[in-house]
Amino acid sequence: MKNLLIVDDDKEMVKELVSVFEMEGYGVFFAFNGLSALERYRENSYDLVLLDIKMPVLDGREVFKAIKSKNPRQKIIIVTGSLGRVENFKQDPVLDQADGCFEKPFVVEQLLSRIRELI
Amino acid sequence: MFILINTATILFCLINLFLSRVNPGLMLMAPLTAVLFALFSAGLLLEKFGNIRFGAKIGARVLISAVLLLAVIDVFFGAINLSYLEALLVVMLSVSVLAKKLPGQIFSSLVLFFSSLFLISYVYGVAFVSFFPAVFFLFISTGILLEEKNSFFQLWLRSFSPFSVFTKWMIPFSLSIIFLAEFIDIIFFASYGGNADPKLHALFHTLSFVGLAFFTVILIFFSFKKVEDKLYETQGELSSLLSAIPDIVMRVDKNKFYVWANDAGYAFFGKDVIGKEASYYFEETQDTYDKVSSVFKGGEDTVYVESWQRRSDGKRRLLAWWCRSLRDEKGEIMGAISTARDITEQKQQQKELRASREQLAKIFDLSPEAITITSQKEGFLYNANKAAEEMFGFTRAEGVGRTIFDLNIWVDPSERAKMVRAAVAKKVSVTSEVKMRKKTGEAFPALISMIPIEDREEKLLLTVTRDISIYKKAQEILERDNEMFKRMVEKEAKKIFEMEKKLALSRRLSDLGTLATGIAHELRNPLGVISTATYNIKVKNSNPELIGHLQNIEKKVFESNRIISNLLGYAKPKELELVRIDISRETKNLLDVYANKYAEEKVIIDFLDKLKPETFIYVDRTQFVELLSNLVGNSFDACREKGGRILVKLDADRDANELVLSVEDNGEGMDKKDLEKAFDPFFSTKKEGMGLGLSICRQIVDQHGGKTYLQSERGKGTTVTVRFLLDADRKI
Repeated sequence: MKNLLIVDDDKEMVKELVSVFEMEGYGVFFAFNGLSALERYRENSYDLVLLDIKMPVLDGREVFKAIKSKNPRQKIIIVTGSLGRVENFKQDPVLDQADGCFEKPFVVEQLLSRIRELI
Repeated sequence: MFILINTATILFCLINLFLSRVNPGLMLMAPLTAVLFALFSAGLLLEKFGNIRFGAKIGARVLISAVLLLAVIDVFFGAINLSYLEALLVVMLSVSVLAKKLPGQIFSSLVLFFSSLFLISYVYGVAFVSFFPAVFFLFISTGILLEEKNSFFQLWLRSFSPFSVFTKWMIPFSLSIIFLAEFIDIIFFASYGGNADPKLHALFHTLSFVGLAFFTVILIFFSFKKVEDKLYETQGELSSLLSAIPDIVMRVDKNKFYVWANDAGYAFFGKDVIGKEASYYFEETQDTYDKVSSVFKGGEDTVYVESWQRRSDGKRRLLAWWCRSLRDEKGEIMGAISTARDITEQKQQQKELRASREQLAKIFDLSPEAITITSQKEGFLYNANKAAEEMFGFTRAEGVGRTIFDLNIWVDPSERAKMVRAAVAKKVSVTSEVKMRKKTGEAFPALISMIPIEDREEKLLLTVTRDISIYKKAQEILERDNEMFKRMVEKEAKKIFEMEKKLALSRRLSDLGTLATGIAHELRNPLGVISTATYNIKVKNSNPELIGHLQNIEKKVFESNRIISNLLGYAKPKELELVRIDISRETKNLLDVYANKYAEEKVIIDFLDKLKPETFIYVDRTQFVELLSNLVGNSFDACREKGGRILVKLDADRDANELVLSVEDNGEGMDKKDLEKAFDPFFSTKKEGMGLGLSICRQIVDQHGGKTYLQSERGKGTTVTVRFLLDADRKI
């Protein structure tokens, strides 16, 4: 079973995504802020991380850098509602290295197909 | 008296000479003595009244010297039968005439004394000299002494006063002697009866004579003294008067020789002026004699003449002379009396004054300011300079003598009166701006300065007039320009104000945009949850009735997202990413998508492409797509309800090198009011939408350096035209 780590400060969002991925048969872990996300990441290993950017305590960009420094080959998809257009990710030197970017509200099927491609 | 005595002497001598010829027994005195006396008297007369010019004085001296010589010869040789004492007297007399001054007076006095002594001795019977010569000597000496002014004899006479004790005594004393002598003689002879001693008789007679002589002398003296006193007084007054006059007073004789001078005259010409001819002092050749000739010909008028003469210090001075003829008692011209005044400095001052006056006149005339001189009150024009002539148009001849009111050069004469009052009261210049008038009647603004000037008795006014019409005009222009400038500034200010307003608006919009962006972002999170939840429901749902509802939710979530995207796109303009595109192909591809979509709504899209194949422009592709989508979308919204038609045209304006893209619809259109606001963000006539469509379109076009035009008519439709620069190499 493949493990996913979902990081988002929106609890409802996390719940819905957990529901989506469990139905798909993934092992789902989650965190509500950047700091706890890094704790979860230390406890376990994950095939993919779904990362929100704008978060309290520690924001997505810092989390992204921390994970990549630990494990440069870790697959990460950015799922965010607060960074404007998708193009912006390309201009961001950190987030540019992400394996995918989805702007909320996204089409769930597209996200799932992207994950299948990656793991 | 002098003439009388001397003439009598000559006469007597001549009678004596005649008698000595006719009857030698009757001879009264020796003929030689008579000749001497005749010569002597003639010499005196000649000396006194002879003409200097003809050497009379020299002649007189020659005559008297001859007398002297003969007398001296007689004294030494006794050859001429003159008694020793007589000859001595003649010598003394001659010397006294020749010497004339103090020693002369002493001699004359001595002669007088001895003559008297002779007379007495003769009467007394001791006659060692003849009686007649003694009388002559007496007469002559007295005559000489009297003639000599301020002589000892005169002074001696003058010491008597009619009221002095001495004089009072003299008359009774002399009369008493006569009376006593005669009385004793008579008594004595009477008592002796004719046998009396004749010597005693003679003594008494002599005493009587002496008393008589005294009495006579005193009487003569009184008569003299009165005349002399008067004469002396008059002369004294006259001479002190003449001396006191600061002017030079000179007397010349007929031949223009100076014979008298006052103190000033001596001071000017020098002590030796008497006896010199007037022309001796002339500087350079001059016609002064011609000018004064009438005086010497008997003219009664005083003649004025100016003449350069040499002063005693050798300097040349200009004298002004007033000459008048001088006549003797018979009315014969005996010379002239002249007064003179040194006018050298005066003349120089006059010359300087004239020069400075001329200078002033020149300044007056050459001054560029118009200057007039008028009387203060009546305004009589006394003088005006050339500038004034030119300014007012009157010639000096026309104006002078008339009043300025008459000349009508003051538009408001009361202003002049006001100024004159102020100037006279303060005695300073007063300046004021007034209206003046030319001869032609043309009025002009002028700056007037007035200053009162007092010229002797007259109260005058100097007025300087300056034509300030040019300044006025300049001022007007300046004021007008000022006004214009003010208006311009106001206009600019208005513009700035408008801009400020716009800026404030855009700032507000920008703030609003920032706010909107924040909101939009925040909204995306819940939208994400809704859409994901909807997916979960769809997957887990087994009830087919719910599927339609879930689809609606999904649709509206994505519609919401589009609104948010639009809002974000407007609020945060992106940097352009220019790419070279084939404009025709790009447009066609996009329109094809919309054509299919709109076909369901029965809206037709036509595409009219007038461009050459493969026309490229540089644009940001994403933005271009957004632009076209918005324009077409707007048109669609406007005409969908009536099954409208959309015409998209592509053309090129070769002159302006511009691409022209227009999107035309036959929709409901807009009225003018809406048209004005069409580009404002958040303005919309639609039921749905945020009203950002056209604003975003214009923002995109502006960013590309193009222009947007909007044409619309209510009920007929709307055309939006966009122009881009066609230049293929253009990079914005």
